[in-house]
Amino acid sequence: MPRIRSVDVSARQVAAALLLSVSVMASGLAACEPATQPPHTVVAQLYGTPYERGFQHGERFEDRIRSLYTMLLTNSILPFLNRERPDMAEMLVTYAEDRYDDGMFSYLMLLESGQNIEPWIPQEYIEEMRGISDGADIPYDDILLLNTFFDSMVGFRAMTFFVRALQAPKVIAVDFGDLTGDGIDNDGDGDVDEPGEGHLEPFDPSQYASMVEVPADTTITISLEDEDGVSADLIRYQVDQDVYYADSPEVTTTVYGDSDEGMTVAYTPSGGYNPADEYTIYIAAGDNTWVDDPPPGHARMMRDMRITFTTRGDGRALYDVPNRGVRDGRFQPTSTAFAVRSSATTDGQIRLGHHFSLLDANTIHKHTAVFVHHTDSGYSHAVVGWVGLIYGFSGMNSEGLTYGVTIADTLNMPMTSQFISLLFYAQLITEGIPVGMMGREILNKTSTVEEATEWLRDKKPTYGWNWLLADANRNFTAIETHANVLDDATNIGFYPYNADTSDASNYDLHGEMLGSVGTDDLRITSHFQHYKDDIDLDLFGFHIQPQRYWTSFYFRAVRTFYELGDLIEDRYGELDSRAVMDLVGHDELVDQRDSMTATVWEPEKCVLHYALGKVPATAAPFVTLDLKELFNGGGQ
Amino acid sequence: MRRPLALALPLSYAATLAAALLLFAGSARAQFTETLPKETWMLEVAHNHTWLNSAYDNKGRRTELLERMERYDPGGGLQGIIIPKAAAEYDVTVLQLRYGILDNLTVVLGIPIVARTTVVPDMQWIEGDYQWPLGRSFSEDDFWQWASSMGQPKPGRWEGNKGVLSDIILGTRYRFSDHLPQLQKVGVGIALTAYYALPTGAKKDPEQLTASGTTSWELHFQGDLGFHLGVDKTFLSIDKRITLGLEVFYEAMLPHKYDTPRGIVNPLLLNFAPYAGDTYRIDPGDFMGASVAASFVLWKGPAKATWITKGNAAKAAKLPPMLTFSLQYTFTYLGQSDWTSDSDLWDWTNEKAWRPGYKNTLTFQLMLSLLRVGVPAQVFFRYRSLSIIPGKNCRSVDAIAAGIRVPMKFW
Repeated sequence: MPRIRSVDVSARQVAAALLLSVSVMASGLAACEPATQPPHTVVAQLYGTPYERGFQHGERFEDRIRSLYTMLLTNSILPFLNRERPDMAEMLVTYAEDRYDDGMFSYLMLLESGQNIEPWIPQEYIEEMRGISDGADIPYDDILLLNTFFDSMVGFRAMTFFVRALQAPKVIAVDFGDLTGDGIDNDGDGDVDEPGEGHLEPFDPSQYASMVEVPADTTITISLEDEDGVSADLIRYQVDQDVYYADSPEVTTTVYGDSDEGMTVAYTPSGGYNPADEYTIYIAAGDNTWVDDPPPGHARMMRDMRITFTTRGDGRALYDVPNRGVRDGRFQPTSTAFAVRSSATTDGQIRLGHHFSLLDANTIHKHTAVFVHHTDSGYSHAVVGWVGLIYGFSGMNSEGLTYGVTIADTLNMPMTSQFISLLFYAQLITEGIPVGMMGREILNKTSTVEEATEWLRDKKPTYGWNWLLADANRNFTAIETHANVLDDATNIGFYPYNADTSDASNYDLHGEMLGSVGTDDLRITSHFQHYKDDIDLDLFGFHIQPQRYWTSFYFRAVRTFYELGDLIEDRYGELDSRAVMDLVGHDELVDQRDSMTATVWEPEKCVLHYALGKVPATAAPFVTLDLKELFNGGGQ
Repeated sequence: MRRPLALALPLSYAATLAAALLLFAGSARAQFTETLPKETWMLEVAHNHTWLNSAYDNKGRRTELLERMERYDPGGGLQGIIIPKAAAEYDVTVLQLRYGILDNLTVVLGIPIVARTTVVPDMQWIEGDYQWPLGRSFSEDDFWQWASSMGQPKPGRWEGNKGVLSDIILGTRYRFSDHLPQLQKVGVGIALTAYYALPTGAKKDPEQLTASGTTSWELHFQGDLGFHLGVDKTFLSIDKRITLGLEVFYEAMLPHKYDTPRGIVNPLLLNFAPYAGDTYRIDPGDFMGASVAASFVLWKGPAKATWITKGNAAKAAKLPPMLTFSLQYTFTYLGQSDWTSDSDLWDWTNEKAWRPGYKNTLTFQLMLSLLRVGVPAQVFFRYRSLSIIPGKNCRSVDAIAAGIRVPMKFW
């Protein structure tokens, strides 16, 4: 049967070949799992001495620390700041030295600032940073820089804003026409119909309206001055959502002054304003110079000035009208922190919500972490921060003491004292305890709001910081701080307040609670509510002014403050943890660009709800972490 | 009388070639099972021009080749979004030398040479947030001035890979159905094809944003090690004018090691080594899929008695038809490509564009065979497109090719 045999052999060959083919192809079915995004947030429990905890931190997150350092500093902040070197070297002779050449200016500036801060840092945090350095095999100087750069950079940023404000056009006066004879205190000064009542000069930026009960047909004239003259081409005049320019028919510009240094911008609405209404003006202008370095080329632009007024028939007094502005998409909300308790919440329990926003650069959110420190001495505690950094801007300890901190731009800070004492030999370096390490210290050493307040009272901050403290006893306190570089006994830079309606120090000069809409809520954003003239100093012809005159955060913070107040008021008595999370993530309160961390803390239960790892942070769902269990040794 | 050597050679060549070519099916082309007759050589030279300016994302939407880049002024919000509407062109010449060891066993050596690669980034810009220090949003010019002040040049047109070798292919095809006369009788052939790509291609310059390499991975049209199982069915009842084919395949990509960009040329955009490590490894996703093909004889053409058939017109009639049209659809499943560096974050930024997906490839080919008229050559024109039917996590590539095949027999 040779034929059959032949077919048999061939069939086996065919079968073998087919089997081989199929098995090879089937093997490809393995390992086809789609890649998934690695978590941007980690929860890490650290044990032992400060060095040991640092080592665990560094060893575990070496790659993330390196990527944060490279992506944020090497690829973003450092080259960005290097652009400022020519200007700085022109003004501050130190920075003309050769060692700042070759792109080393920003690195050395931040490192030297960190080294200047280092002696202020409690030894245990230095040991913790050394532990990170050893664990991650990253030079200690880089870890020090990473842990101090927020404190250094906000100071540098303030100097930059201030210098810009000095060089740019300024609002000298705002004229609402002749308001004498209407029988109303239009400017809120307590006098009625005094001469020149409709004219504000010098103009003082305010968190309240600048004028009330203005006639509907009034022409508002804003006087701007700049030693290089004001460019009509760069006038931007916005009334609520409507934008006008110098060539708009509603706008008239007139140059004045011996050197043409001034310009009036008069705006008359076609058809007039609505009666009994509230309006906000935003005005921006640039001067006649053109700055090419650092690029891109631009005139020296002033910060948008925001001016609110009401028209006749509105009826509210000036200090009842916040300078809230409108949401026009150009400016983002600032950081917020608020605490609610008792009558404000559904169950009476206290909760603290915190949303920190400053800088993300499409990087920081990928490196977030919750660190739980099981300490050998003091209270175990948790902070919400970033890998490589030993702190966060909010945290809680095993006793339920909780803090949230926000930035409050100020020139009452150590870099200013460098100018005062060294002038052109000043360096852009700061000193004091980094704010996040202060947070760690109060968590480690204190258990109540009262103790924490006392601990903070005599500590020198690196900058202007607003604190919100809450504890398991349902106490809360807000504290506004600056460095008091003038050693001024009347402006010590430490201003606590709370919601106690029986305490006069919790009210502003106009009878408004500083940070509360009721007796059981307290809030802070990124401006000073308590002592608003944080600094006011003439120094060699430079007028060093309070924050409201120069920081671009001021009007953003004021708007955020009032919006948050309204939102809390609307929900009074209905705030449970979920509602507080919703508030923290409310659209009006979320910086869509630079939101960094969002947390809700329950001090009585020692529970943390965090939203991290996305921009904004609240784009991520809140995750609940039972810190009590972790503090007690569970969940390891 | 002895013929002069110069004359003897063509005649002996003609004799053997004719015999060999008669083993070519005088039918529509069997695409997946075609082998060369025993001891026959075939030289194929083809020039491919490939162009692409878009890709398909994880949802199968057409998108830019390179990912959009959101750029932020530190603490100053969104400067804008760079849309790299890159367009790339490749010119590749492929030399193939095939040899029939047996009538049903052919080996092939393929030498692809990239003649030129051009990448034009065509960076476009969506303005971001209002920047009060400027009094305006960043324009595109503003951004690149800003970037330049930080040492980052605007990526420009890149041209390179001139005469650079790609991965050389060694392959073989075994038509084992020849052992089954029953299948032959009904016009069915089954073949197994395997190949291996020697790692002779050039890796891209890691410091160039828009550069491209010439390896199989970077060209992404084939795996490093492939196995194809094909079946062709020629319809004998209609004078072999139609052949249908089906093929399944698996192509493995082998892991490769690369140098990590250090930001030497692009300090802001390509500085990864400090955290990703000096080198990284890519284990590209394998290819797996199936093709269906149909080949139609458009014109059989005259059967001339020529030197190839030693003057025998009947033999010439059995040579391949003069004009054949083929079309083929290929579905290719793409496995996940894995990056391994010191940074899982960086790995993910690369991997997310290379998640599992698929290609839908259509190929149209017209072949003109001149064997029947005494010219030992076949000329073909091919158009291959991934842009007609959308894919997922793949590039949308189009290519045209023109080539010539010359069969040879030397003994």
